[in-house]
Amino acid sequence: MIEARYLEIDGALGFVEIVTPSEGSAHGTAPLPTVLCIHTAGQSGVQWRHVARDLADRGYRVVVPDLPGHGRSEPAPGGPVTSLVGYGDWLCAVLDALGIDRPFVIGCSIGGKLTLELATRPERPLSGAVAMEAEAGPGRVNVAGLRRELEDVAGPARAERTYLGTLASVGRSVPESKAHVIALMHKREDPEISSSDLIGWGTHDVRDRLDRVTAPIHLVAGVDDPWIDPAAVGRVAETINATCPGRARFTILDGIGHYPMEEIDDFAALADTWLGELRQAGIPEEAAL
Amino acid sequence: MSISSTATLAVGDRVTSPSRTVTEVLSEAGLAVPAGSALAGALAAERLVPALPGATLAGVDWTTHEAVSPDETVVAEGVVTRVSGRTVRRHIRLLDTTGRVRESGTQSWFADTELQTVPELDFCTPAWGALLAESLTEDPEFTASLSSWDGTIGLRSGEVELHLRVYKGRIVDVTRRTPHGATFTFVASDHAWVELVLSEENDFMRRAIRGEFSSTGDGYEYLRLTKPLHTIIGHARALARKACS
Repeated sequence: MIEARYLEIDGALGFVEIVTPSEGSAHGTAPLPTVLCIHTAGQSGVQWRHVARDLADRGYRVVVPDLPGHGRSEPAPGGPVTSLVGYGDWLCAVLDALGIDRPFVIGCSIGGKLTLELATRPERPLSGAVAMEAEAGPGRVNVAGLRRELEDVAGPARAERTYLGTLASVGRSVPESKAHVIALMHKREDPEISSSDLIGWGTHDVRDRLDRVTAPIHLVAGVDDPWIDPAAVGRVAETINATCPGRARFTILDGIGHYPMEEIDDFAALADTWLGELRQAGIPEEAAL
Repeated sequence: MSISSTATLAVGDRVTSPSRTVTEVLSEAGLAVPAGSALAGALAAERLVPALPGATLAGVDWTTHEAVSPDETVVAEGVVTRVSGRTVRRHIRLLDTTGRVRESGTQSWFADTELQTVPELDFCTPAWGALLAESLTEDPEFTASLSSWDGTIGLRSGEVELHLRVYKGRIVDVTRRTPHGATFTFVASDHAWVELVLSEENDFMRRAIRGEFSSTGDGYEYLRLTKPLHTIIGHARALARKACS
């Protein structure tokens, strides 16, 4: 079942989908673990449209927000958000509004960075995290150029660049027709919002907070992702494990690019496996205090 | 030393050396370099990759990204990037055991005799540009995308630059330099052109996102013409495939 909610957050309406198992699914009466799914730069929760339903049917309460200015959420009152820390605060407000404590979080690209952001907030521990296609340090983009493009007159041919750029970011294993649909969907973006998100991508840095990861975390990198260095993502896991042994794991996905949840058929099954592993790993003692 | 290499001199010819430690390679050649010398990698690479047959090494332009140490195991890879007249250029990469490119450079060779130049692989020369323009002119996707554009697209491979003068979708001139210069110039190294044009798939945008290219001139127009540039690369690839088939 899909429940659509508008939440008043910081003076603007934020949209969130809450997806629970379909009628007839056998999941008993026990409370379902909640999974917060975070979308990529310039996009919206629609990126999780296939995954959310299937993941819910596997026994989760799946919460899919549209970040401010994206999809069906109103723009942030202060204008486009260029700080992922700001988005992190907004997501915490969403969790508060829905009364969610210790969720699992899974995000991709800026959503992956936001997963790292939320996972390194000791005041708000998670149950587990899956950070996809994100390094801990600043993303490799030309932030000065992106700031110039906040003026529409300096933002050339955005639709074509997004379309071709998305095709180039999708993994080599994805059929052409599927990649085409992913790229067409991505063209729906608002360029000002996308550029602002990418400024956030290019400036966000949690490297000095990796020793504070509050929950078991799974870092995921597609081999064909041109936006990241998969080896650098692997090093994030190593850094976390250096201070918190066994807390991080790292998976590299062959033939997959920047959007695993859109590229992989039955991604929900894979996410379920990862989330199950995180649940088995359990909540670290210090975070459970 | 067993080396897998083609014997002909053609753009795209590749060679990969066996894995050796830097010290082994230098000792075998009777070379000793001072400790910490930045030359060790360049000298090892030169010896790991066999000399081109019928040609004399005329120069090397070498860059050290992260110097290899004497006890490291390395592999050298080479690819011929230009064959023109009696000049041959070959790009060399020195990789460590993790596959990272630690040092790289370009060798210039002078051939004993005149070599056959394949215009389809002689990137950014007027002869190559003429073939490219002919191909692009027949592509409605290219002409439509530039149907309201008036300017000059510069394409540069290493030191070689070509200008395509475009007016309302038509390429009206192909020349080394237009009177007012290029509106913008797409810049890639010789070896980047080889990879771009001869790779299995058109990964122009993937490489662009990874920052493998640069531009000069009007950056706005460069970005605005992403689609026509993608089309141009597609045609350059088609020309190369035709020449190689």
